[in-house]
Amino acid sequence: MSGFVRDQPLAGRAPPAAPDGPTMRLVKQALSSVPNAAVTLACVAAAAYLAYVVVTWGLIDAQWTGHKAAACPASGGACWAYVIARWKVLLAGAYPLSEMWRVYTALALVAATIAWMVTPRLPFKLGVGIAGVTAVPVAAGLVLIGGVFGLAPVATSDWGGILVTLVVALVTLVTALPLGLLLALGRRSRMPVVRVLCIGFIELLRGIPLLAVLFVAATIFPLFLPAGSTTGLFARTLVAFTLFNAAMAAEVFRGGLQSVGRGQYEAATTVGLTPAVTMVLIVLPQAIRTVVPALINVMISIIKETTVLLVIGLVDFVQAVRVGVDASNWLGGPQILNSGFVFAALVYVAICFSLSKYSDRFERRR
Amino acid sequence: MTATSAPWLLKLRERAPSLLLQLAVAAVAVIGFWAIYRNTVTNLARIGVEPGFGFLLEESGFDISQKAVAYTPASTYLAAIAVAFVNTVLVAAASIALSTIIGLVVALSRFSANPLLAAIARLYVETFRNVPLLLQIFVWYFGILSTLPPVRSALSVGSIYFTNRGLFLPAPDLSTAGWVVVALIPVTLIGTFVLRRRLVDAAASVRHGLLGGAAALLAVLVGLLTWGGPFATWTVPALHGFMFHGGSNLRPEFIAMVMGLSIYNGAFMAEIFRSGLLSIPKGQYEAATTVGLTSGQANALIIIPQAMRVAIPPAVSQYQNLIKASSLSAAIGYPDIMQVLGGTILAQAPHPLEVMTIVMALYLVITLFVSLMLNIYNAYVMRHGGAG
Repeated sequence: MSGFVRDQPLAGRAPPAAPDGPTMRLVKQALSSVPNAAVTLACVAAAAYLAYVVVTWGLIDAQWTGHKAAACPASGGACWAYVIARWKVLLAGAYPLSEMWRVYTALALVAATIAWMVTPRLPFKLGVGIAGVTAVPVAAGLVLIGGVFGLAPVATSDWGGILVTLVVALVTLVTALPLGLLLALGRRSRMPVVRVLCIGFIELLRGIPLLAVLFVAATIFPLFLPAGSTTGLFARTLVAFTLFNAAMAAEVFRGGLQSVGRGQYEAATTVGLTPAVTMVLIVLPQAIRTVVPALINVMISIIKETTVLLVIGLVDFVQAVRVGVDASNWLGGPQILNSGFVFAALVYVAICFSLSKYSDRFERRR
Repeated sequence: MTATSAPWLLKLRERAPSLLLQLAVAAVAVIGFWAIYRNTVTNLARIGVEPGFGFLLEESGFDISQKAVAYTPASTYLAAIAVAFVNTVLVAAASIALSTIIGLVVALSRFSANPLLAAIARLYVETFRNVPLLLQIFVWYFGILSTLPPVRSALSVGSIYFTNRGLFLPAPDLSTAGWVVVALIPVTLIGTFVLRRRLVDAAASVRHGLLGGAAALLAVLVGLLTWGGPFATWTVPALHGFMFHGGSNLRPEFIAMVMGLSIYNGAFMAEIFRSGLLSIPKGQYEAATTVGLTSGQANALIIIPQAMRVAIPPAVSQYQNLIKASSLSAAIGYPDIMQVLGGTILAQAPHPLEVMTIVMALYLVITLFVSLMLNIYNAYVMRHGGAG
């Protein structure tokens, strides 16, 4: 009987193993099995090689100073001297050097507006936002174009570099989004004439490459106008960009409009709202809120698309990088052009990556 | 009229604003198109151009650097367009295949238990989808391919030569029998796929036997082609003077386009596949392993078939984007639709309207074809959402 009753306390158990720290956990995950360890080893080797190339080419062997190609021998690494010596061209192309302050002013104006809009808890968001799509672009445009207030006119054919990239991207954004919203509403309209026209426009522009639209704008658009009328290449480009991206934005808005349930319309009708008021006060606010991340994606693709401008002869950021290496004092090895390309890539990644992070913030907030 | 209006009149009254608005929109559209038409006709008459597609049968007078179809400067514009069309299809097909493979590998890597592999996959996606495609193509073309050594001091791996004039590699010259062997390869693959589906309830040994047989048959077919014999005559590139002769040549423009398009779109495809995989609840995997499937079987039979359903619609539009983006070739001179028509023919023949109409029509045809093919596949996947 006594054998069944414990008369001695059991010895205490050993304490549980201390939980792994985050580092230890990573190491364990990385080395969990033989094939996994092999993958880890290959990754470490690849990452180390990549880091080695980046550091030696981009930092240790890089040239930071100099005003001609001789400063950057082909045996060396990156030629940041090229980027530094030509930064004004990269920023604004052939914009007159004496007038560069106007470029800085316009960019600062736009940057300040954007910074205001993206900083949480700053007041007057609505007012600043409305000014941001109306007064600010007009003011910045006047400062850049000139011809008023005693500013010397600067032809758009002299614009270039990041300036052109930003102007085209921002103008497209401000014009294409409202047009896209109208097209999306038209596509969902009950009126067959409106619907058919909108569908035709959207599907045509979505089915052909942007470059084809730009070629039409550059070469055959003048044929459509009355004889004798002239339009600048830059203006036609802006129209082409707007129409193309309006079709893209229209599909995004359509998705948003579809996401608003029927019940919303029915409830609004029940409380006596007319269809137009229902659309503006009930449906659109919900629809637009849903598609903000997708609209930011449209924005990112507009910014990347601006590189296509160089094909029809405008000097965008990438082209501003390229034209420099044909100048007599920068004729040299391929590392000069590559340094410019890498710099441009870094700028694009910085802009597009931060935009996509900003869009993530919206997705999480909902 | 009586005091109460007839029903049709009531209906008309209710519809009147909408009808008037539509009438106004239609009027604006008609007047707009008419004005454009009138202006165009006047402008063309002023510069003395006779509109029409007759010029397509005239001699083109220019050569094209890459042609999969017989073509000389004495050929017609129509023949030049055919060559350009084939070149677009070649670059798009190669890039679609490569970007899909990259996308799958990267998406699976992002789910890897190995944190380092997942991190590298993420770095790839975040970098390459944020750098404009044209810039990437330029880096390949001007930054990498044009810095390869000239033909005389080519880098070589076996009989494959890397030069600034592109890639030179051995190529088979197929006889009729050789073409039959080549045609048997897709027949074998599709046949195996269909049979495997038919035999879904058969014993495992039968299914494994089928796979083994198919693999052996494929090995024999590939072996026959490699051996040559009566099927194929292999030519190896050999240096004569300043150029390689024999074998085949992948031009640097083609390589730059395929590399740029594949790596850029691969990042997007990876995100599409990833969101497809993320859409499958974890319970599916757990249930599959509970009933005794291995991790690989669970992925292949349960997770991936369901994920494909989610991934197909965005993948279609990504493929269409890729095809449209292949028009960037105009910037580096790869002779595809955009470059040959929008570049050379537009500059040479006084028919801008007709040329741009053809360009748009061709791209529309290709993108619609892709969307048709994938919609058929999509319908199939939706019906047979089960085992692959």
